[in-house]
Amino acid sequence: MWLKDDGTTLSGNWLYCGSWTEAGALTQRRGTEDPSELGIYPNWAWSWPANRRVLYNRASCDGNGKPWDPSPRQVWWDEAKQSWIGNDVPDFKADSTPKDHMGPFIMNPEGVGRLFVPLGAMADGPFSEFYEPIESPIANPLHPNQSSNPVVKKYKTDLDKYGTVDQGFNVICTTYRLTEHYHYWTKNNPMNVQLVPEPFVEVPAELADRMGIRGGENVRVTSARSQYVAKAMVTRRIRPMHVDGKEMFQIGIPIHWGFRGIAEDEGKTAKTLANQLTPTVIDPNAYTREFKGFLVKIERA
Amino acid sequence: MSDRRTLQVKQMSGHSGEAPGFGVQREPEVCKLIDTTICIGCKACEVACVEWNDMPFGPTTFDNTYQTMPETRWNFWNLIKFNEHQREDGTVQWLMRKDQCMHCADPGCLRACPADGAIVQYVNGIVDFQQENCIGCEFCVSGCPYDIPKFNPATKKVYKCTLCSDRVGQGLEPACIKACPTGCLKFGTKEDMKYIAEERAKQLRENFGFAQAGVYDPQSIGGTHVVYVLHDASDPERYGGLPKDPVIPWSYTVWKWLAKPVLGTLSLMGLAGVLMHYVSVGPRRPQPEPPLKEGTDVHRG
Repeated sequence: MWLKDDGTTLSGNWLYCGSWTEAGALTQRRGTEDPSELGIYPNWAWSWPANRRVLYNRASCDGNGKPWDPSPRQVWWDEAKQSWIGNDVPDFKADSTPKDHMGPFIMNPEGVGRLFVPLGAMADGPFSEFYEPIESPIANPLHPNQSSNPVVKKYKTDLDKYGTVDQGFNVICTTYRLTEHYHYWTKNNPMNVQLVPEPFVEVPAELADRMGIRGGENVRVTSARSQYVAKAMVTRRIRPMHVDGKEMFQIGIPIHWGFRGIAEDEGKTAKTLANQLTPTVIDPNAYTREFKGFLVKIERA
Repeated sequence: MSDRRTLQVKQMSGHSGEAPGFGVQREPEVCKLIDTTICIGCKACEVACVEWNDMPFGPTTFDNTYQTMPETRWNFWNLIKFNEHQREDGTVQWLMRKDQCMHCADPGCLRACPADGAIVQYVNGIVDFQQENCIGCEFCVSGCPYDIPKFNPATKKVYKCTLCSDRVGQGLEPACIKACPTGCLKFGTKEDMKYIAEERAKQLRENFGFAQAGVYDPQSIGGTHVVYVLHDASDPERYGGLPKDPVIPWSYTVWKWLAKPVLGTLSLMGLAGVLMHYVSVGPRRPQPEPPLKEGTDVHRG
């Protein structure tokens, strides 16, 4: 019984269709035989989709359906049965004869593999490229005249300003999460707040020495857009970096605090958010924001 | 917090004679194995302990570290201690060690405790406080070489990790072991845990370049029922102040094993002497009054 496209069948996740049949849970099979000796163990558990072990395996055969390499045979065209068969489940329309020239890369509309991205599939295709973030301490070594992605989505409000090292934003900043907190709601949960009670900024020991910052004291982190005030955690775990011959420092800001929360309501925090600092610059394909690499300056508050 | 119905008592504090029911049941010695080389400092064990023992949350403050609080508390029995250890070559090793009662084979807390049955050591090695017998003298706090028992001024009792005697008594593993996501916490017989620990230490020495890796099971207190695998067993101090050769303060040994029996005997002998004098020589006779001095004007009679 397979999924049909006439509305008579229903599937929560088509990849797993066929993994549990009248024979039971095929995922719990433990057959150790490997007749092809290719490491395809067709009866060990169940591989999605349809228990295929190697995707696009029709590509292992030539235009006539004969395997390129006769000794490890994955799948092949059987003229007598008028069907594709093999040691693996064919990733192909079983009765499509080789003369029909159906492409083996069945998930691509063009049926063949891709060396580059066809028109329209990626906003910044056809090849992948390395770009610097919008706020970067250096020009892109590959192409300095186009350092950052030319088709990132940006906004045009007053807050959409970007800073440079020359303007004084000489510290690289990144944001991240803690094990002890989750997003913005655990700041309301006494257990999580007991584990990590207050927001902080992780500062490398060498940078802290230079700026006269001591662990536990408030610091102000400023970007071209806004400010963030919290206590400094001075650490030796973040080492200075050498970027383009210059020594640069990176600081890290966990995101989990905001306007309201147990510590916030007790007046223990400055009620600033990490994402007041970050630039709202958005990847044109995945729509992720550039919250992990931007420039700031830091000082004692 | 214990399960005296199912766990066999080996020795009790301040108790004359043998522990009740001694020799009735045989039990293997249990052991908690903590592999500091795998711990990721996620604090799941801290949370599991607080949740299982239904302990109230307490306030904490940011102290320039990921460590939840400086030491264990009456309501926080197990704490990951963090230390950014700097090696000679300048690189940093971030050490994390789960700190809690070590359940010593020769417990300093038990030796120091004057209250009958306030501290109990079971045959399986678990050292448990019986708060109903505790008199709140805090001698156990100074008797412990690891600074573990903590006093609650509100209830006037002392508290510490119980090695989940209530769970172990029912054949379950302690809550912290159940919560640990990396498998760095293991529970089983002392023999098994020592074997696993020594194999892991050997692996660290031979395959991972930790020439000083070893197992922490200090014989200076007869061994412990909580055992660590350390990257550098020659310097346990760097793991948040783990004492290298812990000893029970000698004053408690002198008090309990010397002063108490000697002075107890002497006072019994003194009492016997008084009694014998009364019996043989007789009770106190009325004493003649001393002669008056010349010139004094005191009324007599």
